[in-house]
Amino acid sequence: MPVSGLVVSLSDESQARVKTLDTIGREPRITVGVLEANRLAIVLDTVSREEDQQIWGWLGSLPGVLFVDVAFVGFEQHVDQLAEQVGQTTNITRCSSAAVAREGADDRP
Amino acid sequence: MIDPDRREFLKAAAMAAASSVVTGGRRAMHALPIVDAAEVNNGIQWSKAPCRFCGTGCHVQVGVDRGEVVAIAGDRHAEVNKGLLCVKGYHVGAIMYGRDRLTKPLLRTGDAFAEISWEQAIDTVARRIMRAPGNFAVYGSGQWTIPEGYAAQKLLKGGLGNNHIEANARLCMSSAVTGFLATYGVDEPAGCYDDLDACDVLITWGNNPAENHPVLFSRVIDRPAHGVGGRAKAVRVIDIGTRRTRTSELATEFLLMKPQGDVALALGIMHLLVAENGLDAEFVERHCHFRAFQEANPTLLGEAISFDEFKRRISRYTPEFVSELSGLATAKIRELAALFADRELRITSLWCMGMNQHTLGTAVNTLVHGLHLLSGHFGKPGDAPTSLTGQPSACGTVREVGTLAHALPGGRLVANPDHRAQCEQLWNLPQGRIHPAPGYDTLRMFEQFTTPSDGGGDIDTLFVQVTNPGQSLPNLNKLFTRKQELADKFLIVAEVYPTATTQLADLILPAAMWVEKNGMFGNSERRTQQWFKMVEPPGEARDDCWMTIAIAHRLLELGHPGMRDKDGKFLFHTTDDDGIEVPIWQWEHYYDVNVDKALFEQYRHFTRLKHKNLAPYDEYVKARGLRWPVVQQPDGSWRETKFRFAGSSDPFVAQDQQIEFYHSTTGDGRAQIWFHDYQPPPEMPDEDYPLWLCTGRVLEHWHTGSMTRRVAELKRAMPTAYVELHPEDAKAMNVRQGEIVVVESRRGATELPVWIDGRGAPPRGSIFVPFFDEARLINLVTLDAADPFSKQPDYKKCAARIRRRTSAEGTE
Repeated sequence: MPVSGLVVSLSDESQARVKTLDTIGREPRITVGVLEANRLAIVLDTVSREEDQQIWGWLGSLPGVLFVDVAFVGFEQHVDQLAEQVGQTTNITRCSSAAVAREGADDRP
Repeated sequence: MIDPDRREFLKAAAMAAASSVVTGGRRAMHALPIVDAAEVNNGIQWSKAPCRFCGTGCHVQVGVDRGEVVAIAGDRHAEVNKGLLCVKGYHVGAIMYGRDRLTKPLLRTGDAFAEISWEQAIDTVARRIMRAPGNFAVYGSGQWTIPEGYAAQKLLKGGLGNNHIEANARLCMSSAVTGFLATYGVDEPAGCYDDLDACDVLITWGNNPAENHPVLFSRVIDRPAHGVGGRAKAVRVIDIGTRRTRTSELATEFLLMKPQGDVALALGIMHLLVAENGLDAEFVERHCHFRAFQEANPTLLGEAISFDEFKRRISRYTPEFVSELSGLATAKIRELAALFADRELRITSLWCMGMNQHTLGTAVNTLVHGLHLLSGHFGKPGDAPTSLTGQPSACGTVREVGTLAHALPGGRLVANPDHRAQCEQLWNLPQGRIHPAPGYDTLRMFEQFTTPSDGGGDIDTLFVQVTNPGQSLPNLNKLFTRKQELADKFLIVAEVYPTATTQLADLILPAAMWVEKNGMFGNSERRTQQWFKMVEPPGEARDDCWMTIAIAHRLLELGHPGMRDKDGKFLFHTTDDDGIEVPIWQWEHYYDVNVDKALFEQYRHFTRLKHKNLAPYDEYVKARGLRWPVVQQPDGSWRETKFRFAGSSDPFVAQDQQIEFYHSTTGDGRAQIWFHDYQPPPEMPDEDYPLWLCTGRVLEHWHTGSMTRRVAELKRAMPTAYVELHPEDAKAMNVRQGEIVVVESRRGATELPVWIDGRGAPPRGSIFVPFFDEARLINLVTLDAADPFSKQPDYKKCAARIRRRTSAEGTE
């Protein structure tokens, strides 16, 4: 259940900028804050860290967005939940290259 | 589930933090005291710390609730990052909570590990050392905090009389060190990040800060929006590299060069400056000498040459010749020379691994410094040659504390008898305790460790802290993997997670990390930073510094004479406010006093020996870091230094001087402009291995990925390493997007998925592979050829080939 305070840096290109601001403003999980000198403050409120990451990627891909920087993140979750998402092995003798390879080999690129 | 009130609080806090970054803190929409908050907010206790990852040194505010880190905020009071963080910094709090944290000391018994007590573990290490103290070595990194590195340094050089201590920084930036030393007589950049706010032109030399130092690069690219510095206008960024990167995409201009072309280019620009009156004759006349490296006797002093001799030697580097060597158009070489010849511009050069991981690393570092000196682009805000570091305390710990085989704290050298005497005096050691011969550099250390003892391999016990050489060393089959066949070698690894290094360990010590312990780092701009322990480490994980002290005390108990000073006191004798000794070697008493403060106050005396003065510990508690030299003012306050060697800023420059290189190797306040001929790389593509291989980092992962791969979001965003390939090459090889191929060299092979038109764009005949992935070790393939001065290997160029997998290997 992450809550993030982000700073979106926009290019000077006015057409892309207007469209991008409009697109961001229509995203219900985003609260738009102050815009000053090409930099926009937003808050991202999502139900999962996966969704948070997806929106982060989506923001970065919008036309006219130069950077998405972070000013704040609350990632309050129980440690067990975090660990489940991470999905690492607990047994040191099992942490071989092959084990890790299987874990990540099929989803990239 | 976070309760609704708390969620609203977090949202308000998030908006306050983001808004204050946007407005520069002038009108935060929801004015919560988040980033000022030492006080408790809705149950969250906020404290400051530098980020755990790269050498940028961003400050974060760490929110702790019920013993866990629950929130991270960029620290807007931090000059480095002005409240911002990159995607890694955003997740820095999660790196401590991977499920496979190491929590117990583990001793190898056959193919498995058995849990043992800390007492047994420390005794095991001490007894291995006692068997042959001279055959023991320590390998750390720029992830050591300053007190951790200092303690390891003191144990080895001051206690055991053994100089076999090295750090991963040897693999990252030792060519930058030799470049600074050869040019100015003293290490580390003269300028600082303020140069990025003030420059008109930024040249990135084989550097990809958009991925590897993203907050710094954002500070440059986004400068008009920041309104920072005196020149709040768009900067011209010229990216020079061997492949297009994210930096190239955001740069004003990208110049594609051949591998090793940077040396030729720097020589070519110098030639044009000299030949076409572009040099700053007054600056050169007043502040510089000319020198040349000697092939027969390669030292950092080289030989003095006249300006006429320099001119003669450099005359062959015409634009046409340089174009042939570098692949750059003659017009571009002339354009760059014209920029340097323009005294109205402010030019900053920025580099990191591209220029350092290079068999001509020292040469190209000195040549780029020389370019700035020759053209007078030095000593004014925005006019600076600046190297970055990859690790959070590569400067603060490795370079300043001197945790390298040839160095002593405070810029002292093992080989210099006067320097050894100074250190022995400050450590209160008997004369002659420090061994006069430098120890093994990193490559030699691992060669000796992986060579059988009866075959001359005289390092038999190796203690690795805070790094992962089993993944990061080049040519792993030669320098690391062989260890598993050698029963007489003993590898001790202090780690937080299982890694490629722990796989071959004989003893694993579970370590505390980041805000689970007190710490101090020193970043790329000479900024020393401090933080306090905020949460408990899991299980029985303990501080690396404690491990060193506990080993030292066990050695004392076993009778090693070096563990006492000349008054008979323990090497790490520490007292409380009443002067009573605290047994800090016992874990239950380690935090009875602030050991970091005690060690730092001791270390601080060394820093004055080469004008790298540090302030008292308590000053760093108050600040978001201070840039050395830090000197006390008449009113008792402590003042940092932004620009070294500049009379306007540096307190050690004589009052009547604008510029003074007060550690000049010629002893006359002058810097050295070096000449070094171009040489081709030691291994180049040929018929059998037709591709150039370059390795490096990606935005989502830091170093070998042992921390960032435990963060679900970062792992999902970049789950595996890949081989980046030009579409035409892929077509010619008949390999398709995503296909697993074998990347191999004369040294080894690994399997990787193909990524065509990926994040970076290598030119035809060239491939790129990131090294973060433990499952796909590209360093089985890389070359261990090193710079003759810095001993830093070249990870950026060697000959490789790609082939499709055979049916036995598994085809798709």
